[in-house]
Amino acid sequence: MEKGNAMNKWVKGLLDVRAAQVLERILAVLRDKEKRREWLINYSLYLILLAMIIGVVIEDSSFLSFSNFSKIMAQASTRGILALGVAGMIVYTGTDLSAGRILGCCAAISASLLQSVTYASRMYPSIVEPLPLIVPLLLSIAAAMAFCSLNAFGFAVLKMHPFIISLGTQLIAYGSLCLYIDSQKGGAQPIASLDSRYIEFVNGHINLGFMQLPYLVVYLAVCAAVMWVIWNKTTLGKNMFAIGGNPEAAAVSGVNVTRNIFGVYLVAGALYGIAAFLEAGRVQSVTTNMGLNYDLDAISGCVIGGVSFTGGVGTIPGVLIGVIILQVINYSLYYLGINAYLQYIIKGLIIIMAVAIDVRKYIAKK
Amino acid sequence: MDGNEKLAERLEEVERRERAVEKREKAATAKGLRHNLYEHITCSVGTVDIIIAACAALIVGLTVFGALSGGGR
Repeated sequence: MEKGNAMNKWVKGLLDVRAAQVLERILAVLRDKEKRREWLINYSLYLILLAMIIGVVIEDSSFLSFSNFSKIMAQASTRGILALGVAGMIVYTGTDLSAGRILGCCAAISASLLQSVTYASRMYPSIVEPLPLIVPLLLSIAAAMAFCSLNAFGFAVLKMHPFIISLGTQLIAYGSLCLYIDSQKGGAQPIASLDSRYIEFVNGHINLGFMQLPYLVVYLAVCAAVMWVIWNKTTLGKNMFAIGGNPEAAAVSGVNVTRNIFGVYLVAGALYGIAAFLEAGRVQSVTTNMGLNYDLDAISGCVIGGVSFTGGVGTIPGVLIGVIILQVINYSLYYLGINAYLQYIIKGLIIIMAVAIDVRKYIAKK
Repeated sequence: MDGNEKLAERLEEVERRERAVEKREKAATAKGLRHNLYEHITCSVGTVDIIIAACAALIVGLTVFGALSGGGR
């Protein structure tokens, strides 16, 4: 009992010290005019988001409910998994414009193999027994990894700019998706009527009493944890940051740049495959539009979350926060009843602003 | 050789090494090994600040305009 009290006192003391340190830092920022200006500019995007949320809450207080939060999280989850893959490439000073279309293509593969066996117009009538879920998942991952290998080859071996090579891959993936959906017996039609096991696996939830936690959020958390370990505790992750920060220095230090780039792209491919499998189950209908602009959402999520285009900078929690912020913005704009076309303009401005803040940090450091 | 001369020599050596690393980095950029998207940005911090402020004003303005003209939910 006495030991417990001492422990409590120690924790309380520690928290007090920490709180005092944070308060002191905030006061220092508030006192110094230049620091205050810097802080305002660097966090302006978050302040706008906060204002947006306050506006939405004034309009409709149900926005802050647990059920709404779990909906936002579920929607952010597949984009979050995609963003975790794209973030690695941005750390390398690259990017991936093909992520969305790769997701679309792999989602079509997953959905077509997991259509209900009782559905007459299914893509593969020869499948009479439901396939184990792991088979389409692995095929989806393999297909995504193949596309990502193409990107890695262009970037690491041919030294092409990642924008160009991933733009090419994007078109290849989109063409493949259209051909695949067109190859159905009844012509181009959405791949729907999915197996109920698949829908339950993706859209199910854990009942926590006060809220329902979607499985999708759990899958995102698992992927994020694995990626955190890869980024922070493995040689691949350490080399990734070294190459992103200064490829010349990394190469001189004996890091195999080409092999590491391939490694990061293959890990991203695995994430795209998982995201595709989950997204097809979430939407429950795959068309040629699947994956459109998902890459831009993933890239902007990364930039908002602090992954810098200068390379060698970024964290997994940052990526997750960025993706969630973007999703909250999407929801806020919807809640405020803003015209869909106007939403595109606002989202575009948000991306430009996030990149401008990143550029500002780079110029100030230089 | 006195202390000052030694120090000057050492400084020169450090500067020479720094120049060599810079040269190698430039060569790496030219070879395509480095794709820093901000490498060629020439505008000042003030200009970027104006861009950030303009974006912020537009986002706020368009959101308010959209919410008012959309009539809310």
